Amino acid sequence: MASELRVNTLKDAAGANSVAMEYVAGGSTKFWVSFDGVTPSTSDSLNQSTLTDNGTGDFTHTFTSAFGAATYGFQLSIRDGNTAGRGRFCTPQNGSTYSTTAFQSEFQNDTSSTMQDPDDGSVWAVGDLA
Amino acid sequence: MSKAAELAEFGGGISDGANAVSGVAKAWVNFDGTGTIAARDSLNNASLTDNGTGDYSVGYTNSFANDDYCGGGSASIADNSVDANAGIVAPSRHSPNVAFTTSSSRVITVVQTSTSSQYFDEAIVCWDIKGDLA
Repeated sequence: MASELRVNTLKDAAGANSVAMEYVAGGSTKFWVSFDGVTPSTSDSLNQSTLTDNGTGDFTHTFTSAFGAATYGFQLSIRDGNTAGRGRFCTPQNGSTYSTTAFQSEFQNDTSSTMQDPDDGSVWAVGDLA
Repeated sequence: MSKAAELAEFGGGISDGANAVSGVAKAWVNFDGTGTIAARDSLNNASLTDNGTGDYSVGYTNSFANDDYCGGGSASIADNSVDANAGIVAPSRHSPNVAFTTSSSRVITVVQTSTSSQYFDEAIVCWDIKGDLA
């Protein structure tokens, strides 16, 4: 049977490094994924149900557990692109999916500003789940 | 008083206590960086200041223990008015040269093409901080 802890503050076993539950609940990453955008395939993830390839450099991540509102914070990162030019620029474009159940990530090539599949793309989000 | 060395999800993963303390974001904000800037959602965000095009200050309700925290973010442009789709968030260390403080961070957003970059107000700016609070 699942249990529930109700505490105001967490500390480590030594009694140091305390943090208020406000930050544990509100500051924990609720979704993250590391993926190969070329295949594409998910390397590892939390709270991702599906990874959809919409085209070159364009992906949709569907969440297993939805966010409470489409105001969550997000970040994207890329290790490298699979074609010439560094693939360091990544952003959701205008009109991209940004909802409580899914997030669209898009990656570009800094040499030509064209879409590019990432060898290793990362996306994560913070906020409250529904 | 009990002290747990590990936090365990029922039937699932285990998290070291130090990770649970240090690994969570101590501040984050999702804000509209265009027009009159406004937060959509946040944690530990006391204020947002518009310093000019693509140039913001993010203030924290509870200060950090030092100014060595890790900050990062992503952003999305408002429309297709520029021929680029990359909106990035960078800590402002160069122009203007404003270092992080324990209570605020200067953040810039930039839109970049293959040939140039410029400060740009972006519709969705997300910024978050990992570090220890005071």
